[in-house]
Amino acid sequence: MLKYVVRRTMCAGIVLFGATLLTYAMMMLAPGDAALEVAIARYGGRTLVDRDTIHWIRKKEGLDDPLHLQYLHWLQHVVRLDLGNSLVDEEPVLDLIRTRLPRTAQLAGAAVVLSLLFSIPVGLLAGMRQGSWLDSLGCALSVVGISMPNYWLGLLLILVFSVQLHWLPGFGRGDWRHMVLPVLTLATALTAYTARVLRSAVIEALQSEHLLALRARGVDSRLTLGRHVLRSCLIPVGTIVALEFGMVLEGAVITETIFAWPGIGDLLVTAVGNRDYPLIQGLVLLSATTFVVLNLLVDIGYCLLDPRVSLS
Amino acid sequence: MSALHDPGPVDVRFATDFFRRLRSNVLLAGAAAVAFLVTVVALAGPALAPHDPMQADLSLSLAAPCRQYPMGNDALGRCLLSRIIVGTRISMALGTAVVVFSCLSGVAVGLVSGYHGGLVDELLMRVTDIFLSLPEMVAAMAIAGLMGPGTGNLLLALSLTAWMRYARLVRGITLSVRGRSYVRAAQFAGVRTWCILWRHILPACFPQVIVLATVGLAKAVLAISALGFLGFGIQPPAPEWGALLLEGRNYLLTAPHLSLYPGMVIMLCVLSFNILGDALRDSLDAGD
Repeated sequence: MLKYVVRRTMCAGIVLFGATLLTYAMMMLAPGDAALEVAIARYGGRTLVDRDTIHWIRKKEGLDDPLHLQYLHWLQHVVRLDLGNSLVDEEPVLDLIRTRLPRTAQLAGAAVVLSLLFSIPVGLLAGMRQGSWLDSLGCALSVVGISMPNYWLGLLLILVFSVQLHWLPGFGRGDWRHMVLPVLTLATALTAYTARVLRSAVIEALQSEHLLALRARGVDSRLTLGRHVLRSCLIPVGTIVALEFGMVLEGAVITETIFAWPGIGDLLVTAVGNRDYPLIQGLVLLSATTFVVLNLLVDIGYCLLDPRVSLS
Repeated sequence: MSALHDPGPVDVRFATDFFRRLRSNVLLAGAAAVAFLVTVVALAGPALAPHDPMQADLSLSLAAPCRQYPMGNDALGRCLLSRIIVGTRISMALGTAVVVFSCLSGVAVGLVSGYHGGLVDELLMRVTDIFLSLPEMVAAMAIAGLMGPGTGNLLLALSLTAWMRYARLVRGITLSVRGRSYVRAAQFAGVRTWCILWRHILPACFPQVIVLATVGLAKAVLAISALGFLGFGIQPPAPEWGALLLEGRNYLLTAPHLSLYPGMVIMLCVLSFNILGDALRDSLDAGD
């Protein structure tokens, strides 16, 4: 068990290291001298820097070194959480992320809670009554939810609830009323996806052999439902919650753009638009780290819930 | 040789089951019809457009749908229906290219990883994990944004973020097929490795890869238009679906039809491929 946890953590470490490598390689793909731009930003933006200083920075940051040394140099800064300054407003990237992250978390938290509130009952019922009209309806709605482009859904919600009905504000950040439409936009795909996964988990649990054995002995089906079926669905639900937070991060890019919600996603869109390399790197690293840590937590959680995992 | 080449009866039953479903399920038949229509429109392209998609006519600026222009006109008075029709080819061609690239590279990685095993497997799977750790949309946006707009860059960005699923799937199947007797027999007969991979292992992966590719096409179309909508994809004046939606968004108050129709077309297209993918998967499960 402990061995498994240590192994998983080491794997996660390797993956994170690889993610920094990829992030760095991404910058190499960019046209122009991106590394120089990043280095300049570290010493306060372009406006403060003349030609001699650029020369000095080139030397100091080792930008004439071979690539692998340059990467290690960059990594040293990243490990110390020094992500450099934004090229545009010259603020440290870490500070920018720190102000924006709670706002995205606010949307993400609400969307995940909302999606679980709907998807858990729907997924359970659909799985238990496989083939019923309720199941068919649930499946149809969920495939629509997955196929719905979230940018279109957001526009439709604005069109109906702010433009036509004047019930809710269409953009910006303020009281709870500003949150309703973005949260709905984010939660739709999550709900659809979660209900699907849960439905298949329930179906699988119902077909398991130990349940058949209990039935054969005449155990009341209501009793088996709570104690056996629901319990074996706990693992997929845990995975889903972790995955949902990962998915929300992606959905936030579009949702925050449509609703002008000043969070992480909005920050990324602006950063990419401005070719603000240090900021893009910081945000890509942030999302990769979140994803890897969530996955690690899920794996460890699996291991606690299901002893078979650590054996394989 | 041909006696050893045994893809098994699974494929056949899988296809029969799928066609049985297609006949009995209205929703699935509808999805297949839409997918077929989208393909035809993508192939025929401009020939089907009622008007010239680039022809501006300011007297028709933001005009609502009428009989002559069934989906109305955009800010420059161009026919929206024609623009959507021409845009179909862009979305479908790019989506197909993304699926082909990611599928080929993913399948290659999966085959090598699963068949070779050992250190190579460990290494390739770690690389796959690393690529999986970057959220698709975030990574695609960063790549497309950093390298600048352009079809090639977009293709690269979306393929780089999509090949991992194929690699994982194919590796799993290869691992389970590797020990089967017909593969062992081919190995003992001295058949070359690439030939074993091509003729004995790849056919076993085929049905599931098709399922993944169908759903992958839906995802790619969605991602292409999402990038277009954010302004990092195909650039105007090309009538890419996401870019159309981005243009329409500016006139949400005065001309909602400009946001309504492109989004609806994207959704119908994605929905039809998702439904087809689900049905293929169900047929596959029923065949096992």
